Formats: sequence, C-alpha cells, structure tokens
Amino acid sequence: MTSVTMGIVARDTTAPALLDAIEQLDRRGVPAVWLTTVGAGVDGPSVLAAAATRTERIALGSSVTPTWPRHPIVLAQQAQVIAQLAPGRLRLGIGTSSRDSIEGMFGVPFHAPLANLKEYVRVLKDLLQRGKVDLDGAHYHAHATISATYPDVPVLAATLIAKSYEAAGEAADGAISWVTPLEYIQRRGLPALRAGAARANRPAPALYAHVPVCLSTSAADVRAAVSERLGFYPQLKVWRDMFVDAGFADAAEGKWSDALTDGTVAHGDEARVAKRLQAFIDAGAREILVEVVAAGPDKDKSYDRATAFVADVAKTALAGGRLG
Amino acid sequence: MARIPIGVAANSPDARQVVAAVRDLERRGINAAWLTTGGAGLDGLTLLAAAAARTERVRLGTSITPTWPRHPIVATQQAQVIAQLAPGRFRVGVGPSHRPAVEGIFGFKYEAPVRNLREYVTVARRLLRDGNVDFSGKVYKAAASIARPLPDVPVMASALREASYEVCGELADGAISWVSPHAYLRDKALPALRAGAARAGRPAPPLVAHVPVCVHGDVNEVRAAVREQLATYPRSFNYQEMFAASGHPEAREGTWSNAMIDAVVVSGGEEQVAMRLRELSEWGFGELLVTVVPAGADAVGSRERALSLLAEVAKAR
Repeated sequence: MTSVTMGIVARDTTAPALLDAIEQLDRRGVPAVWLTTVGAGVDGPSVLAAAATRTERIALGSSVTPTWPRHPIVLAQQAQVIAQLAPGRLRLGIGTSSRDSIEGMFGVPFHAPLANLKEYVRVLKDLLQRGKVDLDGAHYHAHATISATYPDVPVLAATLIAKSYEAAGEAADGAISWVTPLEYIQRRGLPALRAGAARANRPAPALYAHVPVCLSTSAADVRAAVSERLGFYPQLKVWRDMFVDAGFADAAEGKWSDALTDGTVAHGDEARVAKRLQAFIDAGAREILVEVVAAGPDKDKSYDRATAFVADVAKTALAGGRLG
Repeated sequence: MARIPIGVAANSPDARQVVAAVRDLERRGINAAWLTTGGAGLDGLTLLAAAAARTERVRLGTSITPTWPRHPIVATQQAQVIAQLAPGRFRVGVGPSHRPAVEGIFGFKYEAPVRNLREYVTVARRLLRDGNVDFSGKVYKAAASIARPLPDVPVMASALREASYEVCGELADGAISWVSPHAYLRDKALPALRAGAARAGRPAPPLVAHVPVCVHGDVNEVRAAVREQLATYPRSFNYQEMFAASGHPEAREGTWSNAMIDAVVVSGGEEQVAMRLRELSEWGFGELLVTVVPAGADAVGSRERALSLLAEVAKAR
C-alpha cells in the first residue's frame, strides 16, 4: 500500500451514484477512493463492499466511519467482507464525529472521545490483524476470535487537534487530517503523532492528508466554491480553536477568510495544485485524499478536470517523481 | 396449492462464495436468498450490498441481523445501500439474538429483549418508511431524516416465543422463525402473530417459516447431519424453552431427539420432501426459508440435490 499516494473522496447521496463514480475512477486509473459515512445517509462500508465486486484495482477506503453508533466488532464484520472481496485494497478509517451528530441524532452520550477512539482502533486492529480480541475497556467490551486474519488492512483514525494526533500515534496505523492548514499539521499534528507513538513505543504511523482541491485560476470562482463548501467550519468550536492556534486569527469570529483558503485548500491550475500537494508530502504525508471542490458554472466539468489531474499526478507519484 | 415463495439461506464463511451462492440461487429461480449474521463473522447486510451489485431478480434478506451491536439508524444506513442497488428486492430482518453472544462477545447487557426489538423495529421502520424519525425510548433515541424514504423495504423480525410473534404482529412487516417445529409455528406462532396484529388493528404480516431441508434417503445419515450441523440449538436456553413449549422437554438435555428432528426437519427422497413442502405451504405461512442440511459422504452432491429440488418446487406452481 505504500505506493499509493493519491485518491479521491467520492461524494454522492445514493449508492448507485457512488458505485458508478467508483467504477469510473477505477477505469480512469485513480489509485484510491474514499467514502465518508454522514449522518443517517448511505453506509460507506456497505458501498465499498458493492464496489469491491465491480472493480479490480482501485484501493477502497472509509474516511471515515463514525465510532459510536456501531460496536467496533460490527465494523470488523463489515471489513472482513470487503477485505475478502477486495484482498489488499481496504483501508479502514474511523472517527468520533461530533457531539452534535452523535448525541442529537443517535442519542448516544459523547464522552471521552479520545479514549473511545483508542479503544475502537484497538478492537479493530486486534481482531482483524491478529484474529483475536479480548478487551474490557471503559467504552467497549469485546471478546471474539475469527478464523482468518487481515494484517494488510490498516486501521486509520481521523485527527484534528494535537491530542487526537497523539491518540492516533499511540494506537492507529495512520492519521487522517481534514481541512487543516499545512502549518498546523507541521507544527502541531505531526509532532504529536510522533510523541504518541514514542510513548507507546511504536513507530510513528503514516499521515493521510485529506485536502480540499479546487482546480481553477479564477479567484472569484475559488472563493465562492470554497466558502460554500467549507465556510461553516470556523463556526464549529473545535475547528475554530484549531484555526486560531494555526495562526488564522480571523477565524475567532467564526468567519472563513481568503487566508484560510490559501492555508487549507490546494487551488489554482494543475501545476500550482501539484506543488501545494507535494508540500504535504514533503511535510511527511504518505498519501493525499483529494476532496474535489468543484468551481465555476460547470461543476461536472470541474470534477472531471480534478479526476484527470489526480489520475495523472498519481502516475508521477507512483513512479517516484515529485508532483510539482 | 398455495403459491408461496421459497428462499434459501446462503451463508458461508467466505464472502466470495456467498456472492456466488446468491447468484446461483438467482440462476436457479429460487425466490430469495437469506443471510444470518452470527458471532464476529461476516456481516450479512454488507454481504447483501455486494450481492445486490451482482444480481437482478432474486430477493435479498437478513435472517437475522442482531440488534444490540448497531444502532437502528446504522441498520437503515446499510438498508439504504442495498435497497437502492436492489430496488424492491430487499427485506431487513432483525432480532435480539441470544444472551451468550450479546453479553459474551459484545459486552451488552441482554435485558428486556422484547422491548429492545420493539424499539429497534419502530425506529428502523419509521426512518425507512416515513423518511424521518424522532424517537425517545428506554433503549434507543433517534432523531434523523433521510433524503429518499424507502417504503418498499419491509422491516421484519426474528421470533421464537409467542411474545415476540405478538410484537411482530403488532409492529413489524413480518416474522422470521428459526429451527422450530412446524406444528409449533402453526399452532402457537401464527395465532400469536395474528393476535398481535388484531390488537394493533392491522392485517397480520407474513410469517417466514424457517425449514431445514435434507434430501437424503438414509434416515440415520439425516439424523447424524442434523445433530452435527444444527448442534448449537438444543444447547441454547431460548431454543430449549421453545422446544419444551412445543412438547419436547427433552431438548433441555442439549441434544436433538429423533422426535425433535422429525418435527423440525423436512427430509427424505425428492418426492417425500416436495410433498411435505407443498403441505407446509398451505399452512398459512407467507414464505418458506430453507436451510439446506447436506447429509452423507458427498456434502456437495447432497446440497446440489436439495437445491435442484427446491428450484423445481419454487418454479412448479
């Protein structure tokens, strides 16, 4: 899996549309696809299982599946299906989501999320990679064995603030960032990831940088598309605090800014975007998850341009070359 | 004879084999493929999502998915995927499973399983049918909406004792039995299902009657196969009590008596099995769910023999 360096996060609200999108990405030579499970919408891992039967090469990832509403053994049961149908292609990303969604929608108390994350990862890793789990934790009890093992299914954790990178460093096979300025990843995220790993006496896991990509040279189109897609993040306290900590003081008032666009989004023409993504790799990211932010009047065309870009630069990256 | 559909359980510990088995059932003209989720093994709903992407006609169902380890909204998130890929073909069956698995594997307290089932079915059914749910129960809370409601996805539930058949009659879209004497299903389960429905002022939903089938002439080999392949049931407290209530208190000894086997399993040569299935299809069940029990030295051949016969019975109507 170390050779995969670029993938696309597929977004759609129905399973048939997602399945079509994944088949198309596979045909175009995009090395990896990722699905997010949002709210009460379609279940990402189930779509990945369907996609496993219709694709041959593309790596299949969840980025991410929320922890609280399903016991980790359930996700491991789903992962076994995908891993058997698509050997060597599954990456399993999980995250604690947000208090609003977990308490408001599922009625499950959102408490001690970092401990929740670590226990969840441990159950997945023990059961899938070693075939056996025995845990009586603060969040989960899990006692099970399975006959096959899946040591090639990495368990990745969504990370945002430094403490979550530390937790990922302690427990997971990788950290997935999201809408995070490169400066924050360098100054806070990666050191925390390494510190957590050192404390647990294990090598630091890989960073999977989930980066919004907006291929457009029109500043107005970029501004409109980005603020529509990401503009609400400074209204969420954890993101606001992270942005401020990263040096974006404007975010304190809950507003998106052009500075935040430059800090978190790779935008511009292909050469400029490639250069920006290369900066994430230079900082230590193993892989880029591209979140396509379609810009301009023709969103489909913008999405196609991004797909072609990813397929193209992925070839460069796979050959060991620099993106830009 | 009454035309009732015949489905077959397609479980295997190998996901590729499950998908192949579901496709095989479709090719044979069997009406439905069912998957059970047990222990920490392959997730049935996820397998059905894969099978949905590779089939056109066969109906798909879970019999069952355990309730406790996943919030009912999660079950509907999975259901959306399958139903969108296999429109009009999918039925979700849920059940509280059994104390040893729920407590031993997942560490949940197995208390008030009927209440758990009632709330689970209520949440899942409202969200799928109406597109939104706002529910605050003793076990579950749920406040969610989905963009595209799926009123054509029946939410069915497993039932063993009369109380659970009554709940199914009251609020589920069907009841799914498992390893029960046929006479018990006719004399206890169906009346309880109908009573629950009548009390709720609604028509009784179908009972999917689970029937192990062994097409094999040697009765000793049939019994040996049942005792080996279905060994777990007489060892399970919930099943022992159901057997006792159906006139087989010997189930408490933990093994299958010959009388229990005769009461639960349809076996014999082709003609005998076909005749018995035709008989059962006139007892008022909505559908038969067959677990094939291969017997004798050639398990593959025995399974093939059973599937050929079942396809014939499913088509010859």
